[in-house]
Amino acid sequence: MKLTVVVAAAAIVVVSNAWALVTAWRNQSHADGGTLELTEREVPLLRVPWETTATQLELHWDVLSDAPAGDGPAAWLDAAKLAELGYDCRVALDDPQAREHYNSLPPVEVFVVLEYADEAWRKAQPRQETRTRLFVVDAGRDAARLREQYPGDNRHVIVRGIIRPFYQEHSIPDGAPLSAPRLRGWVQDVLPSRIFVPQPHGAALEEFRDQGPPDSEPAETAPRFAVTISWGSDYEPWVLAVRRLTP
Amino acid sequence: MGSAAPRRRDDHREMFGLPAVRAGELWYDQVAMIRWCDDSLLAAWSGDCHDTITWSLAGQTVLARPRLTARSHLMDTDPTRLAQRRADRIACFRAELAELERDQVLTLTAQQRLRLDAHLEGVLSSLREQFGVDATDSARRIAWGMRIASLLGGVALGCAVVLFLHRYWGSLPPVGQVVALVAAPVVLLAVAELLSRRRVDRYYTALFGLAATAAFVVELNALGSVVNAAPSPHALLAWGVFSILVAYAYGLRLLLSIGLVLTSVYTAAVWMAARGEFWGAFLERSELLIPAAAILYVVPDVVRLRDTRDFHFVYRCCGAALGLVSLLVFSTSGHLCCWGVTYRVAQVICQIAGMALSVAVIVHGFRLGRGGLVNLGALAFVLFLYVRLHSWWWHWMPKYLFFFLIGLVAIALLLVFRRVRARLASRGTS
Repeated sequence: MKLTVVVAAAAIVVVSNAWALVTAWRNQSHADGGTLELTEREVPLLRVPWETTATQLELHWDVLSDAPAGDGPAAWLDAAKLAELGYDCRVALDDPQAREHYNSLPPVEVFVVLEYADEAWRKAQPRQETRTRLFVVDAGRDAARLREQYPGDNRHVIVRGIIRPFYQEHSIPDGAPLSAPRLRGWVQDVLPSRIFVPQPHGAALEEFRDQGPPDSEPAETAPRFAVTISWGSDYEPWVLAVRRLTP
Repeated sequence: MGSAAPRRRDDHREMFGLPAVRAGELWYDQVAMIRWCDDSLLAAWSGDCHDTITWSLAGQTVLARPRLTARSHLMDTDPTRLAQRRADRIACFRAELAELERDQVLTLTAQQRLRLDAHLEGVLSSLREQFGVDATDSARRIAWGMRIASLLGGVALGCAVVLFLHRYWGSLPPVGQVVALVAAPVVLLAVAELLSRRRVDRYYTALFGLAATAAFVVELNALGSVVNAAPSPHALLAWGVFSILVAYAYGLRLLLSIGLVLTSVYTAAVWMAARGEFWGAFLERSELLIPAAAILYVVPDVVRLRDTRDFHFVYRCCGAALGLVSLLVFSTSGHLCCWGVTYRVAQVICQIAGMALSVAVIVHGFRLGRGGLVNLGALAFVLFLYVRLHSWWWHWMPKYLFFFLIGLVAIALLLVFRRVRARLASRGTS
């Protein structure tokens, strides 16, 4: 009996790993999410405090904000968009319990649209200090509908993300009270936020990992490499190619 | 298992050189009584047990032990735990015998002393050899150190596996990476099984069982990172079931607790995902944990299997802890405002419900004779009470007065618990 239990435990290890591999294979069978070539600005190497030969990239993205310095929530993520994402926005904003209600709503996992070096980045340029040219420009529950709105043009990809609403009573960043409270949303994260680079592509990035991060200010440094990444049928990424940009 | 029930005698004549002992109206061989006086066997022999087991010699009561109700005690037949209990009883018996000799109530002859010591040493030696029991206070203290070392060792081994993989990951081909990840927990589990079969000290088995679980958690995370998978709640189910299986295989209560919590969290996570919410924020919807917690708590009543490892207590503790913590978090969250009552009213209702459930856990713990449950319920009650008092008084009351009143409440609670403990001690509940 005990041996049966131990064998069952071992079987769980094998089955769960096999399932993870099968879903990864299924994801990589079709690039439904789209493909982008991103530079070191958007996908810098992940630094870890211990010795490692594994290579991972961090996905750096931003949102176009209507705050003066560009560090507020996404301009497009308003009450109407939150209602479209399934949030209950019927509580009036001037209701005494509105703050508790909206701030207690949990985050939701949705599909988000990442735009590369296009309109959102150009608009953000004068106001926002941002190194990345990758911007989250839209969100929705239906990936197919988003794909219709943002066709695969090497500028837009559909990925998974997390959105959270919040009840805004003060402007960002000066904290001055607003004339009327607003319902806004944060793009909390993009999933996954780290991308593993398999061999042989990892070997191409090894020299950059050993060199360390660029010393200059982010906006002034030219990227040293570019990575082609596809997002598959489960909207999870994988690395297709790595290209050196500096001689 | 404990030995057979002692043979009754018609009188108090000596047997094996030792006077017989009296339990209620019956006389028993003293040596046999020492062997037999086991809690679980008392529950099985409830028909022969009296409210108080009294050891009498020459008409004088020398040792009295309250009876435990059959419901108040578990049917623990785990050989190792029974062996440890017997070693503990022998230590108590020796201490009591020394007291009796000092008070000149009982004086053994040299021959009796020799035979008794030889017998007891033989028993202890056998128990140490077969079950690794701790026969002395020093050994017991070291046993705690071994438990801690076992836990730290398990975590350290898991960390060693992780850092080793990080160091050599880049030089492994993809197939090698997958094999290394899958092999780590399986190999550690195999080692645990090997140690268990060879009857090596149980701490080593526990160490490798814990290491296997830690390795499984780490490697599945690592594989998810390698294939760039978005976080999934189903990993919680795999980890939870694995922990539970390993716990049942080797009698590891810590792993069982971990497994039960993981599977409970999985139910809440899946529920959230089904509602379109991000499952990683399950703590913000802690009320979703309450159904699973309730199920855990009643499992020992519903599944009437023989509990050889004190796992029923683990189920109850996990259920009570998870349920009460979830209720506490739920009562302080803001999404209660849309139940048709105001946020404040809903908060009060939940906290009062939490206090009531805490009291219910305390009462149930007393009935079962499980001090751990009683303490858990008491801690939860105090937390709920303090949260409520903070909500009532903090904002308007002078702070020195607030803490003074909190101190008075603490003293009042101590007095209440003390009275309850005294009353229950007199009823013979441990």
